[in-house]
Amino acid sequence: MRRLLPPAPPEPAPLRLLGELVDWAIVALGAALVVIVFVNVVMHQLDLDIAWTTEFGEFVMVWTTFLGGAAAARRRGHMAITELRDHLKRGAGRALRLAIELTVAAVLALLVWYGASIVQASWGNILTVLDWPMAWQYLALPVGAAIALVYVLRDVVLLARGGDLVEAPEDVS
Amino acid sequence: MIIVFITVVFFALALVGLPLLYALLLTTFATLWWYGLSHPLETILLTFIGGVEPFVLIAVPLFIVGGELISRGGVGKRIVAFAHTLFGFLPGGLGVVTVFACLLFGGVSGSAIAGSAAIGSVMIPAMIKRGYSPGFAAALVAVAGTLAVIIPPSIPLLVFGFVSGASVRDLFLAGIVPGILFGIGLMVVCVRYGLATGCDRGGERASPREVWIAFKAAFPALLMPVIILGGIWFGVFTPTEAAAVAVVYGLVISMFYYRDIGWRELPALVLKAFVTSAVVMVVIGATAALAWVITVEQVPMQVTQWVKEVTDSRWMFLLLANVVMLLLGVFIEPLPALILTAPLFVPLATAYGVDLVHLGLIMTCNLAIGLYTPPVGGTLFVAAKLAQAGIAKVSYALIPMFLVTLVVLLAITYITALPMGLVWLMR
Repeated sequence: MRRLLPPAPPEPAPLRLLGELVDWAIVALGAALVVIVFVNVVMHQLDLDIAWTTEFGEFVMVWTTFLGGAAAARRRGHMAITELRDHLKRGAGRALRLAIELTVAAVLALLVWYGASIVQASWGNILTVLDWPMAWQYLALPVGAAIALVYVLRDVVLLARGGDLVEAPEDVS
Repeated sequence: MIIVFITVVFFALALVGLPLLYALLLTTFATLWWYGLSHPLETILLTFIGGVEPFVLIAVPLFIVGGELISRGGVGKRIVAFAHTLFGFLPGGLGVVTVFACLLFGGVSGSAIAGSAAIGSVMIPAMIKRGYSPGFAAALVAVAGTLAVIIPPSIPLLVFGFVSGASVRDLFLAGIVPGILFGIGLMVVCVRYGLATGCDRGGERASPREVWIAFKAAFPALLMPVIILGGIWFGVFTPTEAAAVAVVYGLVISMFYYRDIGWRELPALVLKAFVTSAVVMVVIGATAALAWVITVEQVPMQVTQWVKEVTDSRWMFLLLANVVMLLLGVFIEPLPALILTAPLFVPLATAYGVDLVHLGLIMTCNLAIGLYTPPVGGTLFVAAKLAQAGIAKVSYALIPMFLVTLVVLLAITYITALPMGLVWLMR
Protein backbone atom coordinates (compact mmCIF):
# COMPACT_ATOMS: atom_id res chain seq x y z
CA MET A 1 0.00 0.00 0.00
CA ARG A 2 2.85 2.37 0.80
CA ARG A 3 4.24 2.13 -2.73
CA LEU A 4 1.17 3.91 -4.07
CA LEU A 5 2.13 7.14 -2.33
CA PRO A 6 5.20 9.35 -2.78
CA PRO A 7 7.88 8.95 -0.08
CA ALA A 8 8.15 11.14 3.03
CA PRO A 9 11.19 11.68 5.27
CA PRO A 10 12.05 8.78 7.64
CA GLU A 11 10.02 9.01 10.87
CA PRO A 12 8.73 6.89 13.77
CA ALA A 13 5.88 4.48 12.97
CA PRO A 14 3.01 6.41 14.66
CA LEU A 15 3.94 9.56 12.71
CA ARG A 16 4.09 7.56 9.49
CA LEU A 17 0.68 6.09 10.18
CA LEU A 18 -0.80 9.54 10.83
CA GLY A 19 0.86 10.85 7.67
CA GLU A 20 -0.54 8.06 5.51
CA LEU A 21 -3.99 8.57 6.99
CA VAL A 22 -3.78 12.24 5.98
CA ASP A 23 -2.47 11.30 2.51
CA TRP A 24 -5.31 8.89 1.81
CA ALA A 25 -7.90 11.39 3.10
CA ILE A 26 -6.53 13.93 0.62
CA VAL A 27 -6.64 11.41 -2.24
CA ALA A 28 -10.26 10.50 -1.39
CA LEU A 29 -11.41 14.11 -1.00
CA GLY A 30 -9.54 15.16 -4.15
CA ALA A 31 -11.11 12.38 -6.20
CA ALA A 32 -14.53 13.31 -4.80
CA LEU A 33 -13.98 16.91 -5.82
CA VAL A 34 -13.18 15.93 -9.43
CA VAL A 35 -16.26 13.69 -9.60
CA ILE A 36 -18.63 16.28 -8.12
CA VAL A 37 -17.53 19.14 -10.33
CA PHE A 38 -17.49 16.99 -13.46
CA VAL A 39 -20.89 15.43 -12.80
CA ASN A 40 -22.24 18.93 -12.31
CA VAL A 41 -20.85 19.99 -15.71
CA VAL A 42 -22.75 17.11 -17.31
CA MET A 43 -25.95 17.88 -15.37
CA HIS A 44 -25.51 21.55 -16.22
CA GLN A 45 -25.62 20.67 -19.93
CA LEU A 46 -28.86 18.79 -19.26
CA ASP A 47 -30.23 21.81 -17.36
CA LEU A 48 -30.24 19.81 -14.11
CA ASP A 49 -27.93 21.71 -11.76
CA ILE A 50 -27.13 20.01 -8.47
CA ALA A 51 -27.88 22.59 -5.78
CA TRP A 52 -25.31 21.46 -3.26
CA THR A 53 -22.28 21.32 -5.60
CA THR A 54 -20.93 24.74 -4.64
CA GLU A 55 -21.32 24.33 -0.89
CA PHE A 56 -20.00 20.77 -0.87
CA GLY A 57 -17.16 21.70 -3.24
CA GLU A 58 -16.08 24.53 -0.96
CA PHE A 59 -16.37 22.27 2.08
CA VAL A 60 -14.09 19.67 0.47
CA MET A 61 -11.74 22.39 -0.76
CA VAL A 62 -11.21 23.77 2.77
CA TRP A 63 -10.48 20.28 4.11
CA THR A 64 -8.10 19.25 1.29
CA THR A 65 -6.27 22.56 1.66
CA PHE A 66 -5.63 22.34 5.39
CA LEU A 67 -4.90 18.60 5.32
CA GLY A 68 -2.66 19.27 2.29
CA GLY A 69 -0.89 21.94 4.34
CA ALA A 70 -0.24 19.30 7.03
CA ALA A 71 1.02 16.81 4.41
CA ALA A 72 3.35 19.53 3.08
CA ALA A 73 4.62 20.22 6.61
CA ARG A 74 5.42 16.52 6.93
CA ARG A 75 7.45 16.65 3.70
CA ARG A 76 8.96 20.07 4.61
CA GLY A 77 7.48 21.33 1.37
CA HIS A 78 6.07 24.76 2.28
CA MET A 79 7.18 27.64 0.07
CA ALA A 80 10.11 29.52 1.57
CA ILE A 81 13.06 31.63 0.45
CA THR A 82 15.81 29.18 1.33
CA GLU A 83 18.93 30.93 -0.03
CA LEU A 84 20.16 32.50 3.23
CA ARG A 85 19.11 29.52 5.33
CA ASP A 86 21.04 27.11 3.08
CA HIS A 87 24.19 29.20 2.72
CA LEU A 88 24.92 29.71 6.41
CA LYS A 89 27.70 27.67 7.97
CA ARG A 90 26.60 24.57 9.85
CA GLY A 91 26.37 25.97 13.42
CA ALA A 92 24.66 29.24 12.55
CA GLY A 93 22.49 27.54 9.94
CA ARG A 94 21.30 24.98 12.46
CA ALA A 95 20.53 27.67 15.06
CA LEU A 96 18.58 29.68 12.47
CA ARG A 97 16.68 26.59 11.37
CA LEU A 98 15.79 25.76 14.97
CA ALA A 99 14.57 29.34 15.54
CA ILE A 100 12.45 29.11 12.37
CA GLU A 101 10.86 25.79 13.35
CA LEU A 102 10.10 27.07 16.88
CA THR A 103 8.46 30.20 15.42
CA VAL A 104 6.40 28.02 13.08
CA ALA A 105 5.36 25.86 16.04
CA ALA A 106 4.24 28.95 17.96
CA VAL A 107 2.14 30.23 15.03
CA LEU A 108 0.60 26.76 14.55
CA ALA A 109 -0.26 26.63 18.28
CA LEU A 110 -2.09 29.96 17.88
CA LEU A 111 -3.95 28.56 14.86
CA VAL A 112 -5.04 25.49 16.84
CA TRP A 113 -6.17 27.57 19.85
CA TYR A 114 -8.08 30.29 17.99
CA GLY A 115 -9.28 27.82 15.35
CA ALA A 116 -10.89 25.76 18.11
CA SER A 117 -12.53 28.90 19.44
CA ILE A 118 -14.00 29.60 15.98
CA VAL A 119 -15.33 26.05 15.79
CA GLN A 120 -16.97 26.35 19.21
CA ALA A 121 -18.67 29.59 18.22
CA SER A 122 -20.10 28.27 14.96
CA TRP A 123 -22.15 25.20 15.88
CA GLY A 124 -25.24 27.34 15.52
CA ASN A 125 -24.48 28.59 11.99
CA ILE A 126 -25.90 26.20 9.42
CA LEU A 127 -24.83 25.82 5.76
CA THR A 128 -27.89 26.83 3.70
CA VAL A 129 -28.19 23.92 1.29
CA LEU A 130 -26.32 21.11 3.02
CA ASP A 131 -27.87 21.87 6.42
CA TRP A 132 -24.57 21.10 8.18
CA PRO A 133 -23.14 23.24 11.00
CA MET A 134 -20.37 25.59 9.77
CA ALA A 135 -18.28 24.22 12.66
CA TRP A 136 -17.59 21.08 10.55
CA GLN A 137 -16.03 23.20 7.84
CA TYR A 138 -14.04 25.42 10.23
CA LEU A 139 -12.77 22.32 12.05
CA ALA A 140 -10.36 21.83 9.12
CA LEU A 141 -8.16 24.71 10.35
CA PRO A 142 -7.43 23.52 13.93
CA VAL A 143 -7.18 19.88 12.79
CA GLY A 144 -4.81 20.67 9.91
CA ALA A 145 -2.73 23.00 12.10
CA ALA A 146 -2.54 20.41 14.92
CA ILE A 147 -1.28 17.70 12.53
CA ALA A 148 1.23 20.12 10.99
CA LEU A 149 2.35 21.00 14.53
CA VAL A 150 3.12 17.32 15.19
CA TYR A 151 5.50 17.23 12.21
CA VAL A 152 7.09 20.57 13.03
CA LEU A 153 7.79 19.32 16.57
CA ARG A 154 9.29 16.18 15.00
CA ASP A 155 11.71 18.50 13.16
CA VAL A 156 12.45 20.50 16.32
CA VAL A 157 13.40 17.27 18.13
CA LEU A 158 15.48 16.16 15.15
CA LEU A 159 17.39 19.46 15.07
CA ALA A 160 17.88 19.51 18.84
CA ARG A 161 19.45 16.05 18.59
CA GLY A 162 21.89 17.32 15.99
CA GLY A 163 20.18 15.88 12.90
CA ASP A 164 19.68 17.63 9.54
CA LEU A 165 16.41 18.49 7.81
CA VAL A 166 16.23 17.45 4.19
CA GLU A 167 13.41 18.69 1.97
CA ALA A 168 11.43 16.12 0.05
CA PRO A 169 11.93 17.11 -3.60
CA GLU A 170 8.61 18.63 -4.69
CA ASP A 171 8.13 21.06 -7.54
CA VAL A 172 5.68 23.86 -6.96
CA SER A 173 4.57 26.43 -9.48
CA MET B 1 3.12 54.18 7.44
CA ILE B 2 1.55 50.77 8.04
CA ILE B 3 2.66 49.67 4.57
CA VAL B 4 6.34 50.28 5.37
CA PHE B 5 6.02 48.35 8.63
CA ILE B 6 4.31 45.45 6.85
CA THR B 7 6.86 45.37 4.01
CA VAL B 8 9.86 45.44 6.35
CA VAL B 9 8.51 42.82 8.76
CA PHE B 10 7.35 40.50 5.99
CA PHE B 11 10.60 40.63 4.01
CA ALA B 12 12.73 40.26 7.13
CA LEU B 13 10.80 37.14 8.13
CA ALA B 14 10.67 35.69 4.61
CA LEU B 15 14.33 36.31 3.76
CA VAL B 16 15.67 34.49 6.83
CA GLY B 17 13.76 31.47 5.57
CA LEU B 18 10.49 31.39 7.50
CA PRO B 19 7.98 29.74 5.12
CA LEU B 20 5.84 32.40 3.40
CA LEU B 21 2.65 31.09 5.00
CA TYR B 22 3.93 31.76 8.52
CA ALA B 23 5.73 34.96 7.53
CA LEU B 24 2.38 36.31 6.28
CA LEU B 25 0.42 35.24 9.35
CA LEU B 26 3.07 36.56 11.72
CA THR B 27 3.22 39.87 9.84
CA THR B 28 -0.55 40.14 10.19
CA PHE B 29 -0.43 39.43 13.94
CA ALA B 30 2.53 41.81 14.40
CA THR B 31 0.69 44.62 12.60
CA LEU B 32 -2.36 44.22 14.84
CA TRP B 33 -0.18 44.26 17.95
CA TRP B 34 2.19 47.11 16.94
CA TYR B 35 -0.62 49.46 15.92
CA GLY B 36 -2.92 48.34 18.74
CA LEU B 37 -5.68 47.44 16.27
CA SER B 38 -8.60 45.78 18.01
CA HIS B 39 -9.63 43.20 15.39
CA PRO B 40 -10.02 39.87 17.22
CA LEU B 41 -7.76 37.05 15.98
CA GLU B 42 -10.88 34.98 15.26
CA THR B 43 -11.91 37.51 12.60
CA ILE B 44 -8.47 37.31 11.01
CA LEU B 45 -8.55 33.51 10.98
CA LEU B 46 -12.04 33.50 9.48
CA THR B 47 -10.69 35.57 6.56
CA PHE B 48 -7.83 33.06 6.37
CA ILE B 49 -10.30 30.18 5.98
CA GLY B 50 -12.49 32.29 3.72
CA GLY B 51 -9.46 32.91 1.51
CA VAL B 52 -9.08 29.24 0.57
CA GLU B 53 -12.77 28.43 0.31
CA PRO B 54 -14.10 30.06 -2.90
CA PHE B 55 -15.49 27.68 -5.49
CA VAL B 56 -13.49 29.29 -8.34
CA LEU B 57 -10.21 28.32 -6.65
CA ILE B 58 -11.09 24.63 -7.02
CA ALA B 59 -9.80 25.16 -10.58
CA VAL B 60 -6.21 25.43 -9.25
CA PRO B 61 -5.78 21.83 -7.99
CA LEU B 62 -7.89 20.50 -10.85
CA PHE B 63 -5.75 22.16 -13.54
CA ILE B 64 -2.65 20.80 -11.78
CA VAL B 65 -4.10 17.26 -11.83
CA GLY B 66 -5.08 17.63 -15.50
CA GLY B 67 -1.62 18.91 -16.48
CA GLU B 68 0.09 16.11 -14.51
CA LEU B 69 -2.07 13.47 -16.19
CA ILE B 70 -1.33 14.65 -19.68
CA SER B 71 2.36 15.46 -19.16
CA ARG B 72 3.37 12.41 -17.11
CA GLY B 73 3.45 10.08 -20.09
CA GLY B 74 4.67 10.51 -23.62
CA VAL B 75 2.71 13.62 -24.60
CA GLY B 76 5.85 15.78 -24.51
CA LYS B 77 7.57 13.40 -26.96
CA ARG B 78 4.61 13.38 -29.36
CA ILE B 79 4.32 17.16 -29.35
CA VAL B 80 8.07 17.44 -30.02
CA ALA B 81 7.83 14.98 -32.93
CA PHE B 82 5.00 17.01 -34.48
CA ALA B 83 6.88 20.31 -34.02
CA HIS B 84 9.94 18.72 -35.60
CA THR B 85 8.15 17.86 -38.83
CA LEU B 86 7.04 21.51 -39.08
CA PHE B 87 10.21 23.43 -38.16
CA GLY B 88 13.11 20.98 -38.13
CA PHE B 89 14.36 22.21 -41.52
CA LEU B 90 15.17 25.78 -40.33
CA PRO B 91 18.67 26.86 -39.28
CA GLY B 92 18.73 26.44 -35.50
CA GLY B 93 15.81 24.13 -36.19
CA LEU B 94 16.04 22.10 -32.99
CA GLY B 95 15.86 25.34 -30.99
CA VAL B 96 12.82 26.49 -32.95
CA VAL B 97 11.22 23.08 -32.40
CA THR B 98 11.83 23.46 -28.65
CA VAL B 99 10.10 26.84 -28.56
CA PHE B 100 7.14 25.69 -30.68
CA ALA B 101 6.73 22.55 -28.56
CA CYS B 102 6.69 24.71 -25.41
CA LEU B 103 3.99 26.91 -26.95
CA LEU B 104 1.85 23.86 -27.74
CA PHE B 105 2.53 22.38 -24.34
CA GLY B 106 1.48 25.68 -22.74
CA GLY B 107 -2.00 25.05 -24.14
CA VAL B 108 -2.14 21.76 -22.24
CA SER B 109 -0.53 22.71 -18.94
CA GLY B 110 -0.54 25.88 -16.87
CA SER B 111 2.72 25.23 -15.03
CA ALA B 112 6.11 26.55 -16.18
CA ILE B 113 8.11 23.92 -14.32
CA ALA B 114 6.08 21.10 -15.88
CA GLY B 115 6.63 22.69 -19.31
CA SER B 116 10.41 22.95 -18.91
CA ALA B 117 10.66 19.41 -17.57
CA ALA B 118 8.44 17.75 -20.19
CA ILE B 119 9.95 19.44 -23.27
CA GLY B 120 13.45 19.88 -21.86
CA SER B 121 13.90 16.19 -21.05
CA VAL B 122 13.42 15.40 -24.75
CA MET B 123 14.97 18.44 -26.44
CA ILE B 124 18.01 19.26 -24.29
CA PRO B 125 19.80 15.93 -25.00
CA ALA B 126 18.86 16.23 -28.69
CA MET B 127 20.25 19.78 -28.93
CA ILE B 128 23.49 18.90 -27.13
CA LYS B 129 23.98 15.87 -29.40
CA ARG B 130 23.59 18.15 -32.41
CA GLY B 131 26.36 20.46 -31.14
CA TYR B 132 24.44 23.18 -29.27
CA SER B 133 26.27 24.29 -26.13
CA PRO B 134 24.67 22.89 -22.94
CA GLY B 135 24.43 26.48 -21.65
CA PHE B 136 22.35 27.59 -24.65
CA ALA B 137 20.13 24.49 -24.56
CA ALA B 138 19.41 24.99 -20.85
CA ALA B 139 18.82 28.74 -21.22
CA LEU B 140 16.39 28.18 -24.08
CA VAL B 141 14.34 25.59 -22.19
CA ALA B 142 14.34 27.72 -19.01
CA VAL B 143 12.89 30.66 -20.95
CA ALA B 144 10.56 28.78 -23.30
CA GLY B 145 9.13 26.68 -20.45
CA THR B 146 7.64 29.82 -18.91
CA LEU B 147 5.45 30.27 -22.00
CA ALA B 148 3.17 27.74 -20.25
CA VAL B 149 2.02 30.38 -17.73
CA ILE B 150 1.39 33.01 -20.42
CA ILE B 151 -0.40 30.75 -22.92
CA PRO B 152 -3.78 29.71 -21.45
CA PRO B 153 -4.73 27.81 -19.39
CA SER B 154 -2.48 29.46 -16.84
CA ILE B 155 -2.55 29.00 -13.08
CA PRO B 156 -1.08 32.47 -12.30
CA LEU B 157 -3.66 34.17 -14.56
CA LEU B 158 -6.41 32.14 -12.90
CA VAL B 159 -5.26 33.20 -9.43
CA PHE B 160 -4.90 36.82 -10.54
CA GLY B 161 -8.48 36.69 -11.82
CA PHE B 162 -9.57 35.56 -8.38
CA VAL B 163 -7.68 38.16 -6.34
CA SER B 164 -8.46 41.07 -8.64
CA GLY B 165 -11.97 40.23 -9.78
CA ALA B 166 -10.91 40.40 -13.45
CA SER B 167 -12.57 37.89 -15.78
CA VAL B 168 -10.56 34.67 -16.12
CA ARG B 169 -12.03 34.18 -19.57
CA ASP B 170 -10.62 37.55 -20.68
CA LEU B 171 -7.27 36.92 -18.98
CA PHE B 172 -6.95 33.62 -20.86
CA LEU B 173 -7.68 35.42 -24.14
CA ALA B 174 -5.14 38.15 -23.38
CA GLY B 175 -2.34 35.60 -22.92
CA ILE B 176 -2.43 34.23 -26.47
CA VAL B 177 -0.81 37.00 -28.54
CA PRO B 178 1.92 37.86 -25.97
CA GLY B 179 2.75 34.15 -25.64
CA ILE B 180 3.13 33.83 -29.41
CA LEU B 181 5.23 37.03 -29.57
CA PHE B 182 7.61 35.76 -26.88
CA GLY B 183 7.80 32.50 -28.87
CA ILE B 184 8.62 34.23 -32.16
CA GLY B 185 11.30 36.34 -30.46
CA LEU B 186 12.93 33.20 -29.06
CA MET B 187 12.75 31.46 -32.46
CA VAL B 188 14.67 34.37 -34.01
CA VAL B 189 17.39 33.93 -31.36
CA CYS B 190 17.57 30.22 -32.26
CA VAL B 191 17.86 30.79 -36.02
CA ARG B 192 20.63 33.32 -35.41
CA TYR B 193 22.41 30.89 -33.09
CA GLY B 194 22.14 28.08 -35.65
CA LEU B 195 23.63 30.26 -38.39
CA ALA B 196 26.31 31.90 -36.23
CA THR B 197 27.67 28.73 -34.63
CA GLY B 198 27.08 26.47 -37.62
CA CYS B 199 26.03 23.65 -35.32
CA ASP B 200 22.55 23.30 -36.80
CA ARG B 201 22.18 24.56 -40.37
CA GLY B 202 18.85 22.90 -40.72
CA GLY B 203 17.81 19.80 -42.59
CA GLU B 204 15.30 18.64 -45.15
CA ARG B 205 11.68 19.59 -45.05
CA ALA B 206 9.33 16.86 -43.82
CA SER B 207 6.89 15.57 -46.42
CA PRO B 208 3.19 16.40 -45.91
CA ARG B 209 2.67 12.70 -45.16
CA GLU B 210 5.21 12.79 -42.31
CA VAL B 211 3.59 15.95 -40.92
CA TRP B 212 0.21 14.24 -41.04
CA ILE B 213 1.42 11.11 -39.23
CA ALA B 214 3.07 13.18 -36.46
CA PHE B 215 -0.03 15.37 -36.21
CA LYS B 216 -2.30 12.35 -35.81
CA ALA B 217 -0.14 10.98 -32.97
CA ALA B 218 -0.23 14.31 -31.11
CA PHE B 219 -3.85 15.12 -31.99
CA PRO B 220 -5.63 13.94 -28.81
CA ALA B 221 -3.24 16.05 -26.72
CA LEU B 222 -3.61 19.05 -29.02
CA LEU B 223 -7.39 18.73 -28.84
CA MET B 224 -7.34 19.29 -25.07
CA PRO B 225 -6.73 23.06 -25.18
CA VAL B 226 -9.31 23.38 -27.94
CA ILE B 227 -11.97 21.77 -25.74
CA ILE B 228 -11.01 23.57 -22.52
CA LEU B 229 -10.40 27.04 -23.89
CA GLY B 230 -13.16 26.84 -26.49
CA GLY B 231 -15.55 25.77 -23.75
CA ILE B 232 -14.57 28.73 -21.55
CA TRP B 233 -14.56 31.34 -24.33
CA PHE B 234 -17.89 30.29 -25.78
CA GLY B 235 -19.50 30.12 -22.36
CA VAL B 236 -20.15 26.37 -22.37
CA PHE B 237 -18.58 26.08 -18.93
CA THR B 238 -16.86 28.15 -16.24
CA PRO B 239 -13.07 27.95 -15.71
CA THR B 240 -13.65 25.71 -12.66
CA GLU B 241 -15.83 23.34 -14.68
CA ALA B 242 -13.29 23.45 -17.52
CA ALA B 243 -10.64 22.28 -15.07
CA ALA B 244 -12.78 19.25 -14.15
CA VAL B 245 -13.29 18.52 -17.84
CA ALA B 246 -9.50 18.75 -18.32
CA VAL B 247 -8.97 16.15 -15.59
CA VAL B 248 -11.48 13.70 -17.06
CA TYR B 249 -10.18 14.24 -20.60
CA GLY B 250 -6.56 13.85 -19.45
CA LEU B 251 -7.54 10.68 -17.59
CA VAL B 252 -9.25 9.13 -20.61
CA ILE B 253 -6.43 10.09 -23.01
CA SER B 254 -3.48 8.99 -20.92
CA MET B 255 -5.05 5.85 -19.42
CA PHE B 256 -7.08 4.45 -22.29
CA TYR B 257 -5.75 6.01 -25.49
CA TYR B 258 -1.99 6.47 -25.00
CA ARG B 259 -1.91 3.97 -22.08
CA ASP B 260 0.93 5.96 -20.46
CA ILE B 261 -0.54 5.81 -16.95
CA GLY B 262 -2.04 2.94 -14.95
CA TRP B 263 -4.47 2.88 -12.02
CA ARG B 264 -1.66 2.30 -9.53
CA GLU B 265 -0.09 5.64 -10.36
CA LEU B 266 -3.26 7.64 -9.75
CA PRO B 267 -3.21 8.02 -5.92
CA ALA B 268 0.31 9.47 -5.91
CA LEU B 269 -0.57 11.76 -8.81
CA VAL B 270 -3.73 13.07 -7.11
CA LEU B 271 -1.94 13.48 -3.78
CA LYS B 272 0.98 15.35 -5.32
CA ALA B 273 -1.31 17.70 -7.24
CA PHE B 274 -3.48 18.47 -4.20
CA VAL B 275 -0.53 18.97 -1.85
CA THR B 276 1.15 21.23 -4.44
CA SER B 277 -2.04 23.23 -4.68
CA ALA B 278 -2.59 23.25 -0.89
CA VAL B 279 0.85 24.81 -0.45
CA VAL B 280 -0.29 27.61 -2.74
CA MET B 281 -3.81 27.84 -1.30
CA VAL B 282 -2.71 28.32 2.33
CA VAL B 283 -0.51 31.19 1.15
CA ILE B 284 -3.50 32.63 -0.71
CA GLY B 285 -5.56 32.35 2.49
CA ALA B 286 -2.87 33.95 4.65
CA THR B 287 -2.51 36.75 2.12
CA ALA B 288 -6.26 37.24 2.22
CA ALA B 289 -5.97 37.76 6.00
CA LEU B 290 -3.15 40.31 5.61
CA ALA B 291 -4.95 41.98 2.70
CA TRP B 292 -8.06 42.30 4.89
CA VAL B 293 -6.11 44.25 7.55
CA ILE B 294 -4.44 46.36 4.85
CA THR B 295 -7.80 47.17 3.28
CA VAL B 296 -9.63 47.87 6.55
CA GLU B 297 -6.83 50.27 7.46
CA GLN B 298 -7.25 51.92 4.03
CA VAL B 299 -3.66 51.33 2.96
CA PRO B 300 -4.37 50.82 -0.76
CA MET B 301 -6.08 54.25 -0.81
CA GLN B 302 -3.02 55.89 0.77
CA VAL B 303 -0.60 54.16 -1.60
CA THR B 304 -2.71 55.17 -4.59
CA GLN B 305 -2.64 58.77 -3.35
CA TRP B 306 1.15 58.79 -2.94
CA VAL B 307 1.83 57.30 -6.33
CA LYS B 308 -0.68 59.69 -7.87
CA GLU B 309 1.20 62.58 -6.28
CA VAL B 310 4.51 61.38 -7.73
CA THR B 311 3.24 60.95 -11.26
CA ASP B 312 0.06 61.42 -13.21
CA SER B 313 1.26 59.52 -16.22
CA ARG B 314 -0.13 56.13 -17.08
CA TRP B 315 3.13 55.50 -18.91
CA MET B 316 5.18 55.94 -15.74
CA PHE B 317 2.79 53.79 -13.72
CA LEU B 318 3.16 50.91 -16.17
CA LEU B 319 6.94 51.26 -16.04
CA LEU B 320 6.80 51.23 -12.24
CA ALA B 321 4.61 48.10 -12.28
CA ASN B 322 7.09 46.35 -14.59
CA VAL B 323 10.15 47.22 -12.52
CA VAL B 324 8.53 46.24 -9.21
CA MET B 325 7.29 42.91 -10.58
CA LEU B 326 10.62 42.09 -12.27
CA LEU B 327 12.51 42.69 -9.02
CA LEU B 328 9.95 40.84 -6.92
CA GLY B 329 9.97 37.92 -9.37
CA VAL B 330 13.70 37.40 -8.84
CA PHE B 331 13.04 36.59 -5.17
CA ILE B 332 9.55 35.16 -4.95
CA GLU B 333 7.59 32.55 -6.94
CA PRO B 334 4.91 33.99 -9.26
CA LEU B 335 1.84 32.94 -7.27
CA PRO B 336 2.69 34.41 -3.86
CA ALA B 337 4.10 37.51 -5.58
CA LEU B 338 0.82 38.02 -7.46
CA ILE B 339 -1.33 37.53 -4.41
CA LEU B 340 0.82 39.84 -2.28
CA THR B 341 0.91 42.76 -4.66
CA ALA B 342 -2.51 42.54 -6.33
CA PRO B 343 -4.33 44.36 -3.46
CA LEU B 344 -1.97 47.33 -4.00
CA PHE B 345 -1.75 47.28 -7.80
CA VAL B 346 -5.43 46.77 -8.55
CA PRO B 347 -6.65 50.12 -7.13
CA LEU B 348 -3.65 51.83 -8.73
CA ALA B 349 -4.46 50.36 -12.13
CA THR B 350 -8.05 51.53 -11.77
CA ALA B 351 -6.83 55.02 -10.83
CA TYR B 352 -4.63 55.18 -13.94
CA GLY B 353 -7.27 53.74 -16.24
CA VAL B 354 -5.36 50.51 -16.91
CA ASP B 355 -7.59 47.51 -17.68
CA LEU B 356 -7.21 44.88 -14.94
CA VAL B 357 -6.85 42.16 -17.58
CA HIS B 358 -3.91 44.06 -19.09
CA LEU B 359 -2.38 44.56 -15.63
CA GLY B 360 -2.71 40.86 -14.77
CA LEU B 361 -1.04 39.87 -17.99
CA ILE B 362 1.87 42.30 -17.50
CA MET B 363 2.35 41.11 -13.92
CA THR B 364 2.33 37.45 -14.99
CA CYS B 365 4.84 38.03 -17.82
CA ASN B 366 7.22 39.85 -15.46
CA LEU B 367 6.98 37.18 -12.80
CA ALA B 368 7.56 34.50 -15.46
CA ILE B 369 10.86 36.21 -16.26
CA GLY B 370 11.76 35.83 -12.58
CA LEU B 371 11.53 32.06 -13.02
CA TYR B 372 14.72 32.03 -15.09
CA THR B 373 16.57 35.11 -13.86
CA PRO B 374 19.83 34.00 -12.22
CA PRO B 375 20.94 33.20 -9.61
CA VAL B 376 17.77 31.35 -8.61
CA GLY B 377 14.58 30.31 -10.34
CA GLY B 378 12.30 27.33 -10.89
CA THR B 379 12.73 26.71 -14.62
CA LEU B 380 16.38 27.84 -14.50
CA PHE B 381 17.18 25.02 -12.06
CA VAL B 382 15.17 22.38 -13.92
CA ALA B 383 16.79 23.21 -17.27
CA ALA B 384 20.34 23.60 -15.91
CA LYS B 385 20.01 20.23 -14.21
CA LEU B 386 18.74 18.53 -17.38
CA ALA B 387 21.67 19.98 -19.37
CA GLN B 388 24.19 19.49 -16.54
CA ALA B 389 25.31 23.06 -17.21
CA GLY B 390 26.63 25.51 -14.62
CA ILE B 391 24.48 28.55 -13.79
CA ALA B 392 27.24 30.90 -15.05
CA LYS B 393 27.29 29.32 -18.54
CA VAL B 394 23.48 29.36 -18.68
CA SER B 395 23.43 33.01 -17.57
CA TYR B 396 25.75 34.00 -20.41
CA ALA B 397 23.57 32.21 -22.98
CA LEU B 398 20.51 33.91 -21.48
CA ILE B 399 21.66 37.44 -22.43
CA PRO B 400 20.24 37.57 -26.01
CA MET B 401 17.04 35.90 -24.82
CA PHE B 402 16.64 38.52 -22.06
CA LEU B 403 16.99 41.29 -24.63
CA VAL B 404 14.31 39.77 -26.86
CA THR B 405 12.05 39.20 -23.85
CA LEU B 406 12.41 42.81 -22.71
CA VAL B 407 11.50 44.12 -26.17
CA VAL B 408 8.36 41.96 -26.22
CA LEU B 409 7.56 42.97 -22.63
CA LEU B 410 7.74 46.67 -23.51
CA ALA B 411 5.62 46.05 -26.60
CA ILE B 412 2.82 44.31 -24.73
CA THR B 413 2.98 46.92 -21.95
CA TYR B 414 2.68 49.98 -24.17
CA ILE B 415 0.86 48.68 -27.26
CA THR B 416 -2.36 47.85 -25.43
CA ALA B 417 -3.96 46.27 -28.50
CA LEU B 418 -1.41 43.43 -28.55
CA PRO B 419 -2.67 41.65 -25.43
CA MET B 420 -6.13 43.23 -25.39
CA GLY B 421 -7.10 42.95 -29.09
CA LEU B 422 -8.59 39.45 -28.76
CA VAL B 423 -10.32 40.46 -25.51
CA TRP B 424 -11.99 43.47 -27.16
CA LEU B 425 -12.99 41.27 -30.07
CA MET B 426 -14.69 38.68 -27.84
CA ARG B 427 -16.23 41.04 -25.22
